Amino acid sequence: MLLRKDTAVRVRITLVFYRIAVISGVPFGGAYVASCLGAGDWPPQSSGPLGLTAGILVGLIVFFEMLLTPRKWLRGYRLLSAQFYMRWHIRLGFLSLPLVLLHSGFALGGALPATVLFLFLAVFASGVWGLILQQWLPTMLLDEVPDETIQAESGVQMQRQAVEAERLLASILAPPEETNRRPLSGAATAEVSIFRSTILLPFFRSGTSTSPLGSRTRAENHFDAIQKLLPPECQPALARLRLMAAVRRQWILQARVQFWLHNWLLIHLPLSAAMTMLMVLHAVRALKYW
Amino acid sequence: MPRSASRDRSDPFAWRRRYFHRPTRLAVCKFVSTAIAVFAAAVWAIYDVAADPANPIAHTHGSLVGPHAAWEHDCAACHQSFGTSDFTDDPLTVLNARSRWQKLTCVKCHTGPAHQSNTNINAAGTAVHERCNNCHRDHDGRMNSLTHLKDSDCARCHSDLNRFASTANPAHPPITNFAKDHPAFPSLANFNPDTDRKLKFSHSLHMTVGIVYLKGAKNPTTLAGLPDEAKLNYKKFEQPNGMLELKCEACHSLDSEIVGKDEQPATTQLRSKGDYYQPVNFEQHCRSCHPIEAPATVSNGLKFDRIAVPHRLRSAETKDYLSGRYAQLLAAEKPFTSALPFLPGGRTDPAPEWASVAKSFRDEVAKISDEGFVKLFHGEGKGCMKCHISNDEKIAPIPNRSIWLTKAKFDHTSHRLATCASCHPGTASAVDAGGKTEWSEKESVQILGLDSCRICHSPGTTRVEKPDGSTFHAGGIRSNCTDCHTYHNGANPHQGRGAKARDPDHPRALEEFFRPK
Repeated sequence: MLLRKDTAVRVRITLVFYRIAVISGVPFGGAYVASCLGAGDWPPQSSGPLGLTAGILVGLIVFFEMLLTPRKWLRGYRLLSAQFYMRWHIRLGFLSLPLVLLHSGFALGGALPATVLFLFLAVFASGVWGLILQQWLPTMLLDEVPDETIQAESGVQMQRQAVEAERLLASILAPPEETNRRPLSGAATAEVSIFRSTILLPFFRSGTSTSPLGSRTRAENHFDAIQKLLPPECQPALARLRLMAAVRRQWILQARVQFWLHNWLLIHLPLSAAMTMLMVLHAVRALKYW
Repeated sequence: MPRSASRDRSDPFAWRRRYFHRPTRLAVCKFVSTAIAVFAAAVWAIYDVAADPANPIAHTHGSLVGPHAAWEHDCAACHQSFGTSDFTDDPLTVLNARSRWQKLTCVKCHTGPAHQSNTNINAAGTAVHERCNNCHRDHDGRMNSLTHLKDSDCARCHSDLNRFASTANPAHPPITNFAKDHPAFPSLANFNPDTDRKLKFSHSLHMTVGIVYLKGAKNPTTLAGLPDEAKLNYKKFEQPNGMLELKCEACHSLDSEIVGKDEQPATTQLRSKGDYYQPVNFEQHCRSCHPIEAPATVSNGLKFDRIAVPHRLRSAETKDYLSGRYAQLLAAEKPFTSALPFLPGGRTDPAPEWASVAKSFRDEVAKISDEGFVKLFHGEGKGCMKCHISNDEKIAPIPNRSIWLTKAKFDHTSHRLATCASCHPGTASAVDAGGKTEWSEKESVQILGLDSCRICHSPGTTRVEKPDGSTFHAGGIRSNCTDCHTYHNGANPHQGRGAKARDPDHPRALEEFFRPK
């Protein structure tokens, strides 16, 4: 998002704030200089030439920003490249903050303008929060989750894992007839059965990070203990189970990261929709009553 | 043919190829929260449109100031209405929201003297004054004051007054703040006692014990020496040795003076609210010691006693008065009958002799009254010139000095905790500790002025200098422009709120007042 991924995360996050400061500073500085030259008031009046111009620009920016939703609905038409659109979505979003503050005249106004202002600030803050997370979490995902799967497929993949794990355990506990492997001893069977029913299958069916297999160290300990009880013929199956548990841990991490990567949208999207509607109402009312 | 790896990956979804259309929990949450937000905004918009357009919760800038509270829900009472027809000529004017909002109809109720009618403001200055709300801001809450403005409102023009003047005046100093750059009060700074004083009076002399020029002088003023009718008023100023020591309140009062034994306020004067002292009045404050009297005189062997003359008579009126009084006295002393021929047996036609007698009488009266007038006017001690300054028998008009700071307002009542001498130097006894006397009949202005105001009325961080040269932190008491100055000629205390210029053109009935058209 706007920033190159070959720089450190800390630098990228710092750059986000730096760009906000720079992009905000230009309109503020311009307005202040204009007021010093007698071309406007300072602090600007909401309905003065400067404030009204800022308000109109912000309105246009908000409409442009909101086009992101229909653009996603119509992504098959390739109207604009996603990168181009997102780049300008962010840049204009940054620019909207100083314009909104100039338009507000650094005051809340009545209930409607104040609500619109607070909604805007919440939308802006959630957007910045999302942008910061976008600088950090995808990189972490690449590093920590090499076996990343498509998030929408993860549920199906986990079901497949559970089925496969059950099949592998069955082959360990009851060797197929076509093989000449001897059955496990009673103690080993008991240990493996307990491991299967209390740890392994619950983890693959509804795996959570609180499971003993959710921790890599504890999982390795469990698998090492079982490995000592099993004959060499069962070792490939156990190795496969060990690998599947490691992948499953990555998917758990991936789900958690995906949640943090997108949860800001729970604020950003609904509030921006409400803000746009109330902004239109505010503009109509302001032009009528002011 | 070997089976491709991608086939292995897609097999699990063979039974539902459009698995990606199934929303995730996050997507469901996003949709639901967005729907709720849109619904809430839509409810607001619908309520806003359906409800009373004057719904103050949605559109007002805030509560109106107390005096305008009756019109809180009636925007059109003050704001001019606009319709679509107003924008047909130039649709872009719909964006002139601020200009439109400021089209107020204040003058429906508020009339008053013209803005700055005594100055030469240019178009820019006129434009500033055309809109009441450039300075008077409503919607700032019930407790807000429409007349108590920020200094920046005044400094907008007064920091560079020439910018708004059609002809620049280099004498206009930039004023931004009372404590910082307020110029000296012109009425004090420009006062020249030699030319501007029209009365001879010394506060310090009158506040000296016994009202004497020198310490221990003979014939001091005592209560016993006053006329009987004045003793009651001056009794409180009597010293144990019987001499009078006048205080400020002997002549200066904030309210109508309580006179007489019944202690009732004077009915000829409205009770003052106490901001300014009542004018000093000759009959009330001076005549007890300084009666106006034509001196006793002798003419043709006849003695005439002193004649009391009313105050405030012009020269001709005074002459007429004296002439009448002397004629009255002369007629009483020399009746006309003694000059007539004896009847019967005398002439039957006395007219020539009557004329002669009358002429002789008139001449004598004229002579006595002329002499009396000259002595009264120019006489030492008790004549007009005791206090007045004149040229050729014309007494110079006495300016009204009850209010010195004529461009601002002042309230003596608010300052009564301070001694008079705190701000009015030279009003103590003329005899100093060393026994020396110092007084002048043509006093300079005995008001300390700007610096004495700043001692209290400056921000607390301001370092101020007292008259004695010592410095200390100011009192921090308010020092806004509008604490002293008002506008719309309201700065002229002689034309205050009750002045005729402020009467509305069309007084309204109560019903019309609350629902103005």
